[in-house]
Amino acid sequence: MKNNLKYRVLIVDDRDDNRYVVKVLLEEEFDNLECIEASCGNEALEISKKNKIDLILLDVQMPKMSGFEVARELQKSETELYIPIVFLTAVFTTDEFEQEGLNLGAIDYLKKPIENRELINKVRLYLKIFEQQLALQEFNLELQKKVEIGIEQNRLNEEMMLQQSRHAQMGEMLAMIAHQWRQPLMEISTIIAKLQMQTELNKLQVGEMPTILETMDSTVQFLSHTLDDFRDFFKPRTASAEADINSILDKAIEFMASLLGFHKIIVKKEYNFKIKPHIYGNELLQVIINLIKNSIEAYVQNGIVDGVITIKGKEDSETFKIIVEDEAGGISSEIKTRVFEPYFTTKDELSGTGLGLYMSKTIVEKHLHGVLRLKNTKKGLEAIVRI
Amino acid sequence: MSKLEKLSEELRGRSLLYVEDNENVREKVVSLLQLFEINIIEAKDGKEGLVMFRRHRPDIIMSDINMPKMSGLDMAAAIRRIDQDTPIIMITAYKDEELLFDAIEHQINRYMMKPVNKNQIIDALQKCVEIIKRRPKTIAFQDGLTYDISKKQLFRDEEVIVLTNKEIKLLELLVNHRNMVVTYDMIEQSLWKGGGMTIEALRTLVRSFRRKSHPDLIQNLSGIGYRLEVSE
Repeated sequence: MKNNLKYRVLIVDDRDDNRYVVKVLLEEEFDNLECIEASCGNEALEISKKNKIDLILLDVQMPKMSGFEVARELQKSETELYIPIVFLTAVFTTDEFEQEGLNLGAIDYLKKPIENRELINKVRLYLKIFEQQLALQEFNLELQKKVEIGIEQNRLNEEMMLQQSRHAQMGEMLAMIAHQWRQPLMEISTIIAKLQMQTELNKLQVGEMPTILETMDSTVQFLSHTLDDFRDFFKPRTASAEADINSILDKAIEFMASLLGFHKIIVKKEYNFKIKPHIYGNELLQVIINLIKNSIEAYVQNGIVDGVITIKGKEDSETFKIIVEDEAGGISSEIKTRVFEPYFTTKDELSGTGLGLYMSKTIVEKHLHGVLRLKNTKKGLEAIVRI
Repeated sequence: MSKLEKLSEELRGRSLLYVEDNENVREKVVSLLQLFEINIIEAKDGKEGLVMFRRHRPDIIMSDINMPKMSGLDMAAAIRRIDQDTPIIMITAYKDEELLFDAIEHQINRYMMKPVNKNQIIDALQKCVEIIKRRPKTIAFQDGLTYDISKKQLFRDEEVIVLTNKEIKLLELLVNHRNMVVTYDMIEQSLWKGGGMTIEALRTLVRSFRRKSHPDLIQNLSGIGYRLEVSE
């Protein structure tokens, strides 16, 4: 047994002396090579199934099964597909046979008689090529591993960002609830204080009561209603369902109502969708809220009062477009190339996580299978969601 | 007599400027304030609040902090530049330490937290009443001259000195900033609304006022403005 055995060559020939000559020649020349012999096609197939073979030297003219048939059989089974074959023949020396042999996947077609030196040189060349191939294979494997690790890392990163943006959004939502609740709570508390004072001053007017109680009731209903809306928003993702785009857009505007009202920004609704697509409604809602919020922030940041945000709808039989348009001055081209990058923000550190547009794009592309684009208009910015 | 009844009595006939941007809240608070027999002036943001303050000179100011156009604090700062005495109540939604500094800087007399409660309101208004009561109604100068702050009249030995509109405004400005420098800018701002005051016109005004009152009542600070000194 050789110690540094690296290659196993299968010699297939029906003639013992032919096999012997080649075996001795090769094993003497290469000290890292071992030869296995097969005297017929069936035996060759059997051996190649059980052993790791690096090269087959295959005689073409054999009784029962020709070398071509052996090659064809080898090609059929998947594991042996990549064993390189070299045909050796003394009879089928014409170009047509050589072509057939090469067509069967042979790496070479050698015609006998062949010089010993030439055979050795050829085999040396083959081995060199194998070695390089092996190295390449290993390199590829390594590369693939690296790519896989990279992909996994990417996936984890994305998951983390999704989580972060969700947390950030939760925080924003809580702030929004606080904002929406503050005034109604103030109304109720004022009414209560008034009633207490009236009682104390003996000025309670029973006639006023129905109106007062009605006001309180509707205010409490409003509080409850906002809470429900926000709870729905954070419900885990349900299956995609037939969605009413109009009501999703209405809801987005309603969510932002207190913020819009506070900054005296008017929303113009220019949509009337007929289409009822199967999508994740909550995710679309999330995106639209985000776009509205960006427009509000643009107005506030640029100190523009009495802003207008126009939400337009366009549709054909299969796709639909939602356009959120503001007149807050738009964005510079330098910023425009970066807005979809995660953690990129033009806002001050406290209010912007830098994930809003990145996440919106991710949601639109990956979950809604659409496209999100930004376009500067004459007066401001247009965000287009096409699904 | 309960605290509330006493407050109610003391508030009677006074005026209160209430500034709040949210219409619903404003309506409820006004309805509560109407329990007292006071004159309520409403404004929907700091800018309007400032205009209303100049026009009506209310006894008490009550304002929300967070408002568009001009915040409650900015309004308070602007008011304090022309008036140091009128008590200001700020209504805020946040417990914020920074507010304490603003309170000192703009001389805000009381904070109320949203949502408000009865005791908060009573305490805040009570505090305002005390400030108003503590404020002198008349100021005495030399030579038997006295100034009635609420009536905006100057007396010599209980006899009214007839002043022109501009003279009264000048005196009011100086009284509001008594023992402080009143610059030409401040005078131009409150006496010449559209601007365009000339030093000559101001000198004529001051000369006339000195002739009617007392030559040494207001001091000239050359190149800066005027000052009214009162020993309180």
